[in-house]
Amino acid sequence: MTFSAGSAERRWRLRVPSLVRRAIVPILLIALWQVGSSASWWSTEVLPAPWDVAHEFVTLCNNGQLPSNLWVSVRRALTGAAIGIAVGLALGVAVGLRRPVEEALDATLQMLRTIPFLVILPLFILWFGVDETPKILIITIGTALPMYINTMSGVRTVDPRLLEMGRQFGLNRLRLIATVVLPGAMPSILTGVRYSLGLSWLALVVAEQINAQKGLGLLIYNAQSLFQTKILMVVVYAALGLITDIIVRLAEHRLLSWRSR
Amino acid sequence: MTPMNAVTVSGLRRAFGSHVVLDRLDLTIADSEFVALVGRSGGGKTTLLRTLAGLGPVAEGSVEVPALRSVVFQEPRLLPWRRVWQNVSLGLPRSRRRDEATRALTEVGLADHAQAWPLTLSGGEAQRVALARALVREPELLLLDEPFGALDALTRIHMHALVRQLHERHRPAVLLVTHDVDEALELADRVIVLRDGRLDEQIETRELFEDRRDPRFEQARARLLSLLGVTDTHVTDTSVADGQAVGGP
Ligand SMILES: Nc1ncnc2c1ncn2[C@@H]1O[C@H](COP(=O)(O)OP(=O)(O)OP(=O)(O)O)[C@@H](O)[C@H]1O
Ligand SMILES: [Mg+2]
Repeated sequence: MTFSAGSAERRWRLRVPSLVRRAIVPILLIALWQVGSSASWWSTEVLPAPWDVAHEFVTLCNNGQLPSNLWVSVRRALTGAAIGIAVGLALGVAVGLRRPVEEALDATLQMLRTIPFLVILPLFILWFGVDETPKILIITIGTALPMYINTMSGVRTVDPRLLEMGRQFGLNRLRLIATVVLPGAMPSILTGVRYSLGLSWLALVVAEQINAQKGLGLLIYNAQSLFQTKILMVVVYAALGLITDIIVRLAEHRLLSWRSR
Repeated sequence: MTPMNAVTVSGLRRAFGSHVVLDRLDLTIADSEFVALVGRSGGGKTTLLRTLAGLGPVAEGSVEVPALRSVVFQEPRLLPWRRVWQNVSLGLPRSRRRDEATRALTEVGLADHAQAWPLTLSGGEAQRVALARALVREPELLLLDEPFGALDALTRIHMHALVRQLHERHRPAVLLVTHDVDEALELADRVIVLRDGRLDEQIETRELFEDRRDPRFEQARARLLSLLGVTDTHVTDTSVADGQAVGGP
């Protein structure tokens, strides 16, 4: 038998760009949603038509409510995630490399992980009040733990022979971490970043249930009666998650380019 | 340190639990001398080499080695996320990195692979990069632990020529651990045999490889093979007795 270079799979991949292939299913779903709404398969009370949601989007953009509140929320989520990722990364490297640190911290951190971090929210309100602090803190905790777990397991898989080689060639501890440990653990670290950023949006939704005077949570609260606004918010959260995922994928592509031969 | 000797080991003892691997071992290597170390598998060759490299503790005895040492391990141990030239220049001062890496890669015939990723190299090429990385720092002592063990016979012949050439140019003291008696005879000034934790016998081979028809070459070879097992009770170690390289773990 012969292997032809142009199998059907290959030709399809060559002709249609990756982005288009990925977009096909979401676009079909939205089309189905629009068709279903127009044909009154369900009442707009249950699910408003995409067209109405888009209309609401334009309204909220024009009156400035969406951009300003979106900005507040994005900043909140990213601040919390940045702190959480930095803390998780540092803990993961320290625990992964040093036995005494592991013995001191790992059990505690694993235990914290089993607590659904969202249920501590009422406690945070009690301790830190209702302004920015508890909101950022809950996002930080939610993102630090997955970051910690992934970084630690990545650091553990770094080839000890490479570490020995690095030491042999005179790298001090900091340079060893920068040139051997972090790059070796990078695939796991990026998985951690992806989980953490995803969770940061979830934590944001919960955090903004606390007395949000600004942010996407406020828009949801104000829109109790307006159903299309709620659906719009779902769409906004989905878009935020999608965008962060794409950014991490691009970073992955760059940082792990040495793996593709 | 005496100026004439690159390495002075005396009374070195090393044990893992109750298993004594190196037992009051003495060894000197002169400046620029090329010494090959042969011995049974599990006899402690790697343990000795790691001790000289500073990778193992010295519990008993004394070890004097130069500060500038390099090791080539059995595997290349390149960082796959660093380009070839960055691997070579690992640990050099920033200002000299690029030039020195290029020069070292030229010496091992890999100048046009400077920008490549290590995963794209063949086994022999990767080991040449490891050699360039070891030599770029102009070590006074070069430690080679079966560096050609995983290579095919033809590549190994090329590597032998390369190593001899590089030794002539840079003149470091060299300790080469090998399973291959012919390799030891071809490259080294002196072949030493490690047995029962001590240096059992040594054979000066400096002039021998110049002319293989010299009857002393065959004598030396036969002597080494017999020391390694033929006349020994442990005839199971036939791979060494045949003078074949044994691909280590
Ligand atoms: N870290 C260690 N812990 C316990 N035992 C060890 C350790 N390192 C080496 N040994 C033992 O010491 C002995 C010598 O090992 P070594 O690696 O030095 O042998 P070798 O001569 O290099 O063998 P080979 O030719 O197979 O590479 C072996 O019996 C080995 O099991
Ligand atoms: Mg060995």
